[in-house]
Amino acid sequence: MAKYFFHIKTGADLIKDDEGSEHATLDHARSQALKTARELWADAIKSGKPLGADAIVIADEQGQLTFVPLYDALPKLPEPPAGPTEGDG
Amino acid sequence: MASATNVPNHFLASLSSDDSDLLRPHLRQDNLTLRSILFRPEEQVHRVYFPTAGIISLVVGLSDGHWVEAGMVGRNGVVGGGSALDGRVAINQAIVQAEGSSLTIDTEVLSRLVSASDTLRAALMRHELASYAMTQQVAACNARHELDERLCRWLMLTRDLLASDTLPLTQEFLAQMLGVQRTSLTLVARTLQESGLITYRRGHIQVLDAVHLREASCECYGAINHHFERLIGWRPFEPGN
Repeated sequence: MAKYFFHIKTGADLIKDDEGSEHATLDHARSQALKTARELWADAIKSGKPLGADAIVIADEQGQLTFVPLYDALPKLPEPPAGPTEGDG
Repeated sequence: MASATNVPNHFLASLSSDDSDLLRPHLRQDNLTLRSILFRPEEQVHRVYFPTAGIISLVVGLSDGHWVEAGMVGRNGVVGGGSALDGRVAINQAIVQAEGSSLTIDTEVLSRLVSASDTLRAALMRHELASYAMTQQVAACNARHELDERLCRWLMLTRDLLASDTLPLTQEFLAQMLGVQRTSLTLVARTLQESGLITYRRGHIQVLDAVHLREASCECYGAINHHFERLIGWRPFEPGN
């Protein structure tokens, strides 16, 4: 187990996580960050409030950084339905 | 003999002097050690707690390993009282959320005393109803209300029970109690901080503006207090005091 810090990048601002949490591997920490990102999207969509973050920055205890953009957490969007093509080209 | 109005537990202090006299010889002072588990679901409850300082959280465990809070009790109430009313085993887990101390009584002794005194049994029943009302309110709150207002509700209840603006809490624990990811909580705490309602430092939250924190809480804060006031006469410490 190692400690990872989950800072939140919002524009030029970084909200520092000074508590950190324990994870077995960086991969595990990354999937935790994605889970969090999904929750942030869900809350923003449900409440209609701004997302408030654009990435989660995972820092290990040596200060190595891993960026997890919030966009990475979005589910695959369905193909747009085939509609009238008139005017498309 | 005078009733125990100097007892720093509201439930005990609210009892008639006869009921206080019944209980007093059996009460013992115990420490509430941070994160200690007082009982687990389905376990026999050996002691009933009347906290005098600190907070005990009633939490529900899910099979994915998460624990979510259904209610909290401090100097206002009783933990494990249902077991003395023949509830026999615990329905949830009680864990010390903020360390402190508690008067306690052996469950079997309390069970015997409530059989001997209708007024004591009625008082305990009213408390259990208030506690039931709280968990119902929390269920509705968790289903419908947003994290920021739920967090404010939670901080206000905690502040009332501790009678302090300094709340010793880690975000990890708070996130778990509210059933959210820790980072979601960091983000919401930051917003409250920017609005000047709280400051957050590692391991504790300082309430700066209780009046506005209360306004930012969902209605559940007032609803829970209303149930406790109506059923057991508990009134929390008012913002600004």
